[in-house]
Parts: sequence; C-alpha cells; structure tokens
Amino acid sequence: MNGFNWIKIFAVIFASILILPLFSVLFSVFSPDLDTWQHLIDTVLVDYITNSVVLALGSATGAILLGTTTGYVMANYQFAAKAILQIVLLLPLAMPAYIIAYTYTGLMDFGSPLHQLIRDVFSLPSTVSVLPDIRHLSGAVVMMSLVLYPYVYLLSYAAFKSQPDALQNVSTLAGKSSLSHIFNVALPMARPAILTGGALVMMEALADYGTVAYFGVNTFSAGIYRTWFGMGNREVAAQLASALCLFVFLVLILEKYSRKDARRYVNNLANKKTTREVTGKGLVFIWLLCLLPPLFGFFIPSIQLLYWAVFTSEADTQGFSNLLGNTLYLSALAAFIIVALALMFSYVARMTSANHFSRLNQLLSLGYALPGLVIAVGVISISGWADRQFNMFTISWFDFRPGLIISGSITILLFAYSVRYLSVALQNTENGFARISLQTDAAALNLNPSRWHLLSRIHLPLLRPSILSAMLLVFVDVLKELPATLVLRPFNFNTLAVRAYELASDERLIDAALPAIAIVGVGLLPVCLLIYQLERRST
Amino acid sequence: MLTIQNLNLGYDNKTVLRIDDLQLNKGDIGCVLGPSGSGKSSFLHVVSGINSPMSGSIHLNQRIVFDAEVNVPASDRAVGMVFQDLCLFPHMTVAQNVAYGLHSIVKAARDSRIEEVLSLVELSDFASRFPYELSGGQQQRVAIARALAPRPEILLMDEPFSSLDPSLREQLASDLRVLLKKLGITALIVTHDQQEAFAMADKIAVFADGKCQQWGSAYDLYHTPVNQDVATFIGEGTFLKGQVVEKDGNLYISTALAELNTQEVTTANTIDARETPKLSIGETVSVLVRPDDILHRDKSAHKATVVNRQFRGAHIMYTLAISNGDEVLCLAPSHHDHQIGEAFGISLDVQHLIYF
Repeated sequence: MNGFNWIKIFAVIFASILILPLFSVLFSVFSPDLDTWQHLIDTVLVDYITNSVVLALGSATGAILLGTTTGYVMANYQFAAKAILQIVLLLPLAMPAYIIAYTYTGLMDFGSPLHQLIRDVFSLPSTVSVLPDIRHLSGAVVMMSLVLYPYVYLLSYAAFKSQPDALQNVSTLAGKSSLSHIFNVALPMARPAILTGGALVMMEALADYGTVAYFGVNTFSAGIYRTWFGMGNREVAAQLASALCLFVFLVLILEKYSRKDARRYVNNLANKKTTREVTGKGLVFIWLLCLLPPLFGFFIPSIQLLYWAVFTSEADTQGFSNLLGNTLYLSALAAFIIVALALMFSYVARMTSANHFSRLNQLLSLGYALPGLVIAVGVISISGWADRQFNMFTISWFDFRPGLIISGSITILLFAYSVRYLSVALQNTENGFARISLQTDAAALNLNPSRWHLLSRIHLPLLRPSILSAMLLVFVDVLKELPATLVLRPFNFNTLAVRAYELASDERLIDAALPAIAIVGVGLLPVCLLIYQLERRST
Repeated sequence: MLTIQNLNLGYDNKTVLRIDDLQLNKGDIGCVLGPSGSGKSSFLHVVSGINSPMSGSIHLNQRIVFDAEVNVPASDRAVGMVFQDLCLFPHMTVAQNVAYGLHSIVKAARDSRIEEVLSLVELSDFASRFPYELSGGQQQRVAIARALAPRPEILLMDEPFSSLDPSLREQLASDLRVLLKKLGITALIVTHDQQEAFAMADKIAVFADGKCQQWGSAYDLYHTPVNQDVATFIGEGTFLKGQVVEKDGNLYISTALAELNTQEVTTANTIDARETPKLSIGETVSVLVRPDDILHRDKSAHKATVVNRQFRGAHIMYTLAISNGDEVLCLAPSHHDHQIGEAFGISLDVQHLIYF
C-alpha cells in the first residue's frame, strides 16, 4: 500500500511540473510591458488577430467542405474499388502543412518546369506568370485545408454512417427530395461531428508556425516568434502566447459544446444502413470527387518531393544519416518517457476511487491543444528560472557555476514534448486501462495482494497494444514537431523537421526534399495504424 | 380499405414472402405477427411504397396503388409510417418533427394542424421540446403524431414498442389501441410479440415459412389455427396422438385421455378459414390440447404426474406426464398446489377440436 502512495506523490509532482509552463504563460499577462504593447497595437496586433482568425476559420471551412462531402459519399454509396479510396482519403494526415506549403511553392514557382510547360503549351513569353503566387494567407488556408480535412472526414463519415435508412424513408414518405433530405436531416444530424472536426482543424491551424512563417503571413505564432527572437522580448512573446491561448480556449469550448450536443443526438437507432450501388457516370464522378483531396493533399506533393529527393538533390549522405540518427533518437526517447508518464498518471487515476486524478489527467491533456510555440515560451521561462536558482545555489555553496543545465540541453525539448504530447499517450493508456475490468483487478489482488504484481503481470501485458500505439503516435508527433524544436533545440542539434524547414526558408527547396519525404514516410505509420483500427472496428 | 391479392415479395425473381389474400376494413387495426426474418418489415415497406413487390396487387381505399401496370410512388400513397426506433429527428423540436410532412400547405393551416395532432396525442405542452427531453412513451406519441399529421388513409407501424422498456409495452399497446380507435384510424402494425398483437389487433396475420399462414382474429388464431405451424406459434399447447374410430355412426378420435366426438365439438365456433381434414377410420392424428383444455379434477380416473411447474400468480402452469408418457400442459388455479413428482386427476375438456 505504501508503494502506491509513493506513486501518487510522484504523480502529483510530475503533474505540477508539466502544468507549470501553461501557468507561467498565463501569468505573464500580469507584468505587461506597456511600451512594447503600444508599439504592437499601433503596428501589427490587428494583423495578428485578423490573420489568425481568418486562417483558423478559413481552414476549418475548407476542411469541412472537403471532409463532409467525401464523408457523405463514402457513407452512403457503394462502388467499385471503394476500399482503395477509404485508405487514400486518409493519406494527407501524413503530410505536415509546412511541407506541402513549400512543395507547392516550388511546384508553382515562376521558374518551375510546370510553369514553363504551361507557358509552352499556350505559347506564352517566358516573362508571363500564369500560376498564382500561393505565398499568402489564402494559400495558407488552402494548404491547411488540404492536409487537415481528414479530421472532418473521419468524424462526419462515422456520423453519416450511423444514420439508418429509416430516416431517409421518413423523408421519402413525406415527399422530400434527396437534396432536401441532405440539408434538412442528414447534415443537421451530423452537425456536432462536423463541428468537432472543424474545431480540431482550427486548433491545428492556430498551432501552425511553419506554414505561416514560410508564407510570411503575420499570425499570432509568427508574431510570438518575431517578438521573441526579432525583438528579443520574451515577456511580450509570452503575453502574445497567452492571447493565442485565449483563442485556443474558445475553440476548445466550441469543441466541448459540440461533443455535448452530440450526446443529445445519441438515440438507440438500430443501425440498418444500406449503401446505394453506383455505376457508370456516377462512379466516375464519385471517384473524381473523392480522389481530388488526396491527390492535391498527398500524391502531387509526395511525387514532387520524391522526384526532387531522388533526381536533383545533391545528397549529403553523411549529414543526412546524422540528422536521421538525431531525430530517431530524440523521438524514441521522448516516446519512451511520455508513455511511461502516461502509464503512471492513468494507473494512479484508476487506482484512486476519487475523481481528482482523472480531472488532473484532463488538465494535463490541455497541452495538446496548445501551440508548440506557446509551450516553448512557457517551458523556457520555467527552465531558465530553475537554472538560475540552481546556479545561485552552487555558487553560494560551492563557488561553482555549472551554467545552463536544462535550458540548453535535450532535457528542455523532452520537457516541452511531454507537455504537448502527454495527451496523445494518455488517451491510449486510459482507453487501455478502461478495457480491463475492475473485477479483473479484484480477482488478481485476491489471489496475490502485491500491486506491483498486478501491474507487471496483469496490466502491462493486457496494455501492450495500447502502449505500442501510444509510443508510435508520440514518436511520429515528435518527429514532425517543428516550432518548439526550432526554438528550444541545443546549439547545432537538428532534426528532420527543423532541417527541412531551414533549407526551405533558405530557398533550397530541392535539398529540403530528402528530410521532408522522410518525415512523410514515417508519418504514414500512424495512418496505417489508424486504417488497421478502423478496419477492425468495422468487421 | 387495404386489399392485398397474390402479393409476391422477394428479389432476383426469388419469392421470399407470399400473401394470397388479406383485407383490412376501415377503422380496423391489423397486426402482422411472425418470427424475425419472416418478411414483416419488408411487407410494410411494400405497402408504403418504399420498396416494390415482384407481383400482385395492392388497393388502398378502392384505389390501385400497385399492380402489373401501376406503381404509385410512396409520397402519393397517403400512407403514414411509424418506424422501428421511431426515427424522430433529434435536431428538431416536437412541432418541427410533426411539421416535416406538412410542407405543401400554407403556414396558418400547418400550425393549426400541428396543434390539432399534438393535442390528439396529448402532447400540446411539449411542442417546443426536443425529442431527447421526452420519455420513451412520449417520443412514440410524437412519432405517431408526425405520421398522422398529413392525414394518411392508413397508418403503418413497424415494431412500435421495440425501443421501449419491456415492462411498459403491454400498457402502451392497449393505450395505442384506445388512441387509434378513438381517432378511427386504419392501422397495420408489425410485431413479433403475440401479447402485443392480442392487446391491439382486430385481425392478425401470421407470417412464417415464406407465406401468410393465416389472417384472422386473435380468437380464431388461438382456437382454430389452420395448420400445425400456427398452432405451435400462437399460444401454448401440446399435441396428443389419437386414433380415428367409428362409434354409433359417428367418427371419434380416441386419445389417452378421452374419446372426442368429431361431430359434436368442432363446429361451434369454427371459422371457415379452416378446412377440416377428411378423416378415415384407423388413421392416426395429432390433437391440439391447450392448457385450458386440461381440467384439474381429483375424482378423475386419469392421473398425471407433475414434471414441471411454473407459478404465475393466480394460476400455476403444470407440465404433466400422462399414462402413455405424453406430456400435456395444465393451467390450474394456484390453490391446487402440487409439487414435482406428485400426481393428480385430470380430464380433457375440448371446446374446439383441432387435429392435423
């Protein structure tokens, strides 16, 4: 029993450390630097706000258009080779927005082969630009929509799928057209799912740094980075970060609300859903409709990246293998630590009958909603303070100055990743624990009262699938993470994501292709896991 | 009102269900009873026009809605339908749900019709509520109101109680009958539960083995089933083996418990739906014995041993073994309390002699 109390204490300590960065960001508003703020208000603040709002709403609208249309078609029709589309529609999940952004920039660039080809076909002079410049807010919205629509697709597909045939029959008997049924019944009933998907897209869009920085769009994340590194004012950066948090919380409330809304809509409908067979012209139309989003969101950029990586880049094999080693090492280490933490938190929540610890876990899960840059700002102020305290301590007692122990090392990266991705791991471990009945515990404890035994012999073996999927998801998330890594990494330490971003920012698009395609390749792993889980659920 | 003739339901030219002749009078409540998979719901869908049969004809109120040449679309058949699980729209209020089928009339008329229909089902105070705020029984009344709002000529209901708490069903079934009768609605209701059907129906169709086996009142189905399948499916009972013998010029069926005169007991309440099979002397037949045909009579020469007993409050249902080893059921008042293994006297008192 004593051992268990120790775990509780550890859980509380770790939880406090993980929550601190958020509080340090929020508390920064109490020490405003009025001059800098006046300057920001006079110059860029309005831009930050409008651009962030337009980016979030625009991306959500785009993703909802693409995701709801494809979700409706896939849930209601049966056609040739549907299984292929079912997989293909999810592939853009593997494509980070900042990678698709610079790939399209290169693809549509004034001097690109595609551009030249179009000029040749229409015999235009080589000075004419025919393709639009996508390096604007609207371009960012399109990029985000193309890679984020699967969130809406997955949720709306499930919602449409759960609408039984009888609903359509009610409309048929009432003499309503199919279109009227879609707009009066099918869509409104799927609304909570669609809004939840839209909220997820908005959070991703607000968290993005790579795309907006590359396109030169002044959003909050770009502003935080510029204030911090351009103006050297970390306080104001933190205050901007807390303003961004406000937007994120608004979106979180929307998401919570639509989930609650969804619960009202749960009815005990027997799910008899037949899909309508489509052939001929309809089949071609449906295939084109559903193929377009993954074509632009995955295939075209992937092929372009592969082409660059294989045929044109001057491969720096030594440099690339170093980079790959660094990235894999960092991601694996982070995955291991974060999943261990998640196991501890969910174990404690399971073992205590009171709700405090499950509420604590919900609080810890907030990290995933926060943009990486916000977490970076919070983490660095905490670690800077800790380093200062430690140095003061060693100087006064041992006259020794160890310098920055946490701030300049991998530790701070792991700290930031833990804050941001703990929720991903927690979701898996908590679901895993929920699947083990409490009576199993009672039976095991009845036969052998050791809690350690219960954990090692019963829980861990049963949790293995959840632990593996948690590790995989965290591993890939860390590997793709850009803004926090960019800001917090130790000097001369690079990951695939940071290198791809740096090369792209230096207009070395072709050289950026190799690290980029590596990220996309690894990013396919969790998509495969998702497809596998969906398949298993449907059979 | 509703006339079905030579209807064949199925797909790919394979008949799944055949209904030779079925007529429902105006204002009557018909029930379709059958095990799951017997085609009950498909039948409703065909009557409503959501699906089409392979052949046959359907008349609604003297109007052909389906035959070899005509196939009136569902929206023009004036059919109201209450679906299994009700299928209320969760995002619409009660009033909006009811208004859904009223799109072709002007707003003022629509509003007054909504009010009228809601007061019929006693839900006037709930017009602006959402379905999730209502109890199961109230939700069902909303579904009925929605189906009735466009003034259909017939109301079809598919397993109306399947989504409700089992303890409420019998009460709701008789409530529903009262409501439909009050409104004078012709209704066709699908169910798999005999008690529900008995509680609601004027006439019951039994669907089994790919066809409509019998169409008659609950009384007919119970006491004069047309075949062994219907006899087994409806109510409780067992079959006693008997031999046909001739005595004083009359044919008798001789069973272990009694000799039954085929002239005396059959005709009294027999409905012409049943064709009495011709009997030949010496032939062996099975006689249907209902639990209420076996009387507890201490003085009787026929003793039976209790094999099993089921206490049902006012009555006890005994499973009894008789001298030749056959088993019969006996519904005895519960003050005749016998334990398993005990024996008591019984006599066979058949009001309707049914044999196959």
